[in-house]
This record gives sequence, C-alpha cells and structure tokens, in this order.
Amino acid sequence: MNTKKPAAPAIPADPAALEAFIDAGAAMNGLTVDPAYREGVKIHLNAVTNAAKLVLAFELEDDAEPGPVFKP
Amino acid sequence: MTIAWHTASAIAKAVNDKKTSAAEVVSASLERIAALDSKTNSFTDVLAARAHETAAKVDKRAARSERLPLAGVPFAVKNLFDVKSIPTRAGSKINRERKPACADSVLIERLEEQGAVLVGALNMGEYAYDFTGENVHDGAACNPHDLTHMTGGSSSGSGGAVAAGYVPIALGSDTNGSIRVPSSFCGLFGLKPTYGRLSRARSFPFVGSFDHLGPLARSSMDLALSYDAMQGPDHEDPVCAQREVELTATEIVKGIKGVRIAKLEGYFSKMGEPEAYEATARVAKALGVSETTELEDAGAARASAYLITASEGAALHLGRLRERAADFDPDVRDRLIAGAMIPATWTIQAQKIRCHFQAQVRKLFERFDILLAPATPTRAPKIGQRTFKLDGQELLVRPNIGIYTQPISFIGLPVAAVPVWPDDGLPIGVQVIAPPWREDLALRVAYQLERDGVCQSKPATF
Repeated sequence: MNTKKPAAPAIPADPAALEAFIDAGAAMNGLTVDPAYREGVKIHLNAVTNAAKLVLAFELEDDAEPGPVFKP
Repeated sequence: MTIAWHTASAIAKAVNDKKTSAAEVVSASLERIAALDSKTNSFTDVLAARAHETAAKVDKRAARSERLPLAGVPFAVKNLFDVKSIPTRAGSKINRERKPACADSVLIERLEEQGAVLVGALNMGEYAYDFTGENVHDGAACNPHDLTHMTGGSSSGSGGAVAAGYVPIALGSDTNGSIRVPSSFCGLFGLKPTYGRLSRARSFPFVGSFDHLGPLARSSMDLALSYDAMQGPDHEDPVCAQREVELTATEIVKGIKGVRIAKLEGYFSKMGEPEAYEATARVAKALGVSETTELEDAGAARASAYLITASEGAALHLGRLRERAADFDPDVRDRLIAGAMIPATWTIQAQKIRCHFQAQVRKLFERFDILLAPATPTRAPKIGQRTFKLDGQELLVRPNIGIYTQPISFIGLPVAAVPVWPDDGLPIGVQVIAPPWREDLALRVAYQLERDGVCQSKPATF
C-alpha cells in the first residue's frame, strides 16, 4: 500500500495544555518536577514540541519503515 | 623535544627512527598539561604513572625495531570512555560514584596496541547532552585560541587538549555533532566515521541510535592514522559493522581527481552567520566546485534527530532523574525531563523519517561523492552566552549550535570537519560529507585542502 497518510494535526500551542502535559508526564514517569526546574522544563518542552510539529506534519507512506529494524 | 605542535605522524616517525623515545615525548606532554591546563581546563584525569609505564613498553618494542604506526603518540579521551581503574564519569557528578572501570574501551586498546600512549581523560558536557563545553561540576573547558570563548561540546576537553598542544590526537563522541562542533570552534580536523564503523564497546552511551566515536587532530593524516588503528569488527558492540579494516592513510594522498563534489545550499545556507557561508564557499572554491545542491527535508531530519535524542536520552537517565535530579547539571536535567514526556508516536514517526531521508540522500550520492556544508552556524560563542541571533531570531545557544551537524549524523554519514580561518579571529569548520563507508573520500578531500593551505590547524598562544 502506497497511500500517503494525511499529516497529523498540529499540536495546540496552548500554555495551559503544556502545563497539564508536564504534570501528567511527570506523574506517569514517576518524576517530581521541582518548582525550580519547571521553567527550564517548559522551555525545553516547547522546543521539543516545535520539533514535533515539523515531524508530525511530514507525510509518509503507510509502509514507511522506522529506522531501527530488528534482525532476528 | 618540544612536541606541542608536532603531528602524531611526525612523533611516530621520530620514535621509530630512534631520534627520540616514547618516554621523552610522553614526559613533554605531561609537563605541558601540568604547566598550562589550569587555564584551559581540558583534563579531568591526568594519568601520569600509567602513561610512563605504557611509554616504557613502547620503547621496549621500538628497541626490538618494531615499527608502530603511532609509536609514542600521546593521546587523551573524553571521559565517557572507560579507562581502567577510574570511574567513567561521562561529565556527571552521579557517575563518578561508580566503581572504577575494570578494562579500557576497545578503541583505547586498539590505539595503544599500535604504540599510542593514553595520558588522561578529558572534560565533557554532562552525559554528552551539550554543544557548549560548559559543565557545572568540572567547570567550562576554555578555547585555547581565546580563553573567554567556548570550546564547543560535548567533546569539549578533546577540542581543548588538541588545540592547546597537549596531545596531537584526542577521542570524542558525536551523537548530533559533538566531534564536529569542537573541531569547528577550536580550529581542528575531526572525523565522525560512518555509524557503526568504530566500536563503542566500553564507553558510556547517550543515544544508541546516533552515537559515534572518533578522533580530533591537528592534521588530516593524523585523523587517518588513528582512524585506521581503531577500525575493525567488534562483537562487544552490536552496532559495530562486520567490515574488514579499510586503510585510509595510504589512500588520502592520492588527490581528488574525479571526485564529484557539490556545495549544499537551501537548509545549509540559512540560519548561519556570514562567516559560516564564507568558509564553505572558500573550501568549495579551492576545490573547484561550482555545483550546488540541496538536502530536501533536512529541517525535518534535524527535528527528528532532536526528538529521538531527547527521548532516548531521557529513557537512559529516567532512574537517575527520579532519584537524583538535583545532582544533574541543571541545563541537562531540564532537557532530559522534557524528553521523558515525549509521546512514543512522535519518536516513531521521527524514526520513519530517518529511513525516508536516508533513501533520499542515497539518491543524491548517485550524482555526487562529497557534499560540503558549514559545521556550525557561528564561530565559538563566549563562555556563558545563553542566546544568539540566527537570521534575526533570538535562539538558545545550547540546543542550536548543531543545526548543520544534526541532519548528517541522523543518517550516520561519515564527515571530516576541516578548519577555516576567515580572518585574524577565531576559526570555523566546514563539513566534508561522504557516502556511507567512504571515510577515505572525506579524508582525501581534507588532506588536499590541508596540503593546499586552505584548511589548517594553528598553534594557540594562551
């Protein structure tokens, strides 16, 4: 199958969503985000999210292989 | 013997010809480190006793008229390489509590087998997540060409130690540019081999998908000599290719006749300062290159590398982030915590882009053998500088120094970084990018540029 998938929707640039994401991500990873770290984490999560916008908007075929291929 | 600015090949020849001894060379190296490294902060561990012992063994071999390609050549390694009897700190506070390594890294063993002598371990950005050379635990490495400027990272001490004339060769690692960036900032030749070419066994990882090891030196021939000594399959590193040794030192002197070269534009002619483009143009002109081409999707490639790095890095350090977050370098910690939150869907898409981009670039290599691009968007920023302006945008220095190196290591291509001096100020590097497994081509071009005086390393006064 060589049908191009539609690009994934853009990530909402909503500050409240980012704050909620940090709280949920920290909880699910068993991490404590000290208030002193939070601003730094936010800056970097913003950078990661910006990178992800480009990555998720990239159109690929359904049968595109990921980089690491397991060789038994 | 003053060895500070001698190349490894000149040292090995002098030792092999019995004009000097390994003991003498190594003593000179250790004396220079003791006298000057308080200014540059390249070393975290100086291994004088071990170095003297190894040098004595080399001299015994030389006395038996054994000619060794790296006889008596002092070298040092980024402190993420295992060095027997010291903990592999990888630039961190946490790791220095580990037990001392019980054996050397494979690449150290291979260099010493050919006569080289390890003199110490080098400063680096914490856990290699760094392009600046700043380290909150061990202090910033200072650029020997101007001590107020960064060496670049994360192989910061590797750049500093070679540029300062302590050793002619140092080993570094390059996940997203950490050999090419310090080579650029410190005016050195650096080789990031093809992904999987050199064994990573017994070194501390960062991002398994992209981790490479390789040399930095003040001459292209020294890159070739050390690279040749380190090649070969290794069952201890599952990524290490089952390829026989393909020697380059004898190949690189053959010239570049027939090598099809193009300069990369598009993505690689944006977001840099004028000297980055000037340096690349100067190299292209010297090589008689008029063709230009583009790596379509380099921006998506870089973004993908960014995500995979953050995500794999976070996975590696998750336990330490849970238990000892306060003991990390804050700049590294906050990036890793952010990385831990990346959804898997994002990184899997990024890994798919990796294959797509690889196929695209493979097609480009049907037309060209070598691609030229800047190594860094700027010359070395000031130590402590947090932001810079690229194309009018105010950006963080730390994550953005690697904009030109990241898309290339993303697909594991071999690159020789070559130093250009645009004026009387600091140097800046150019990437000479070759197809997979063709390090010989990149080194041939580097050698030609050095021979013609276009690219060279200069002694630093500090």
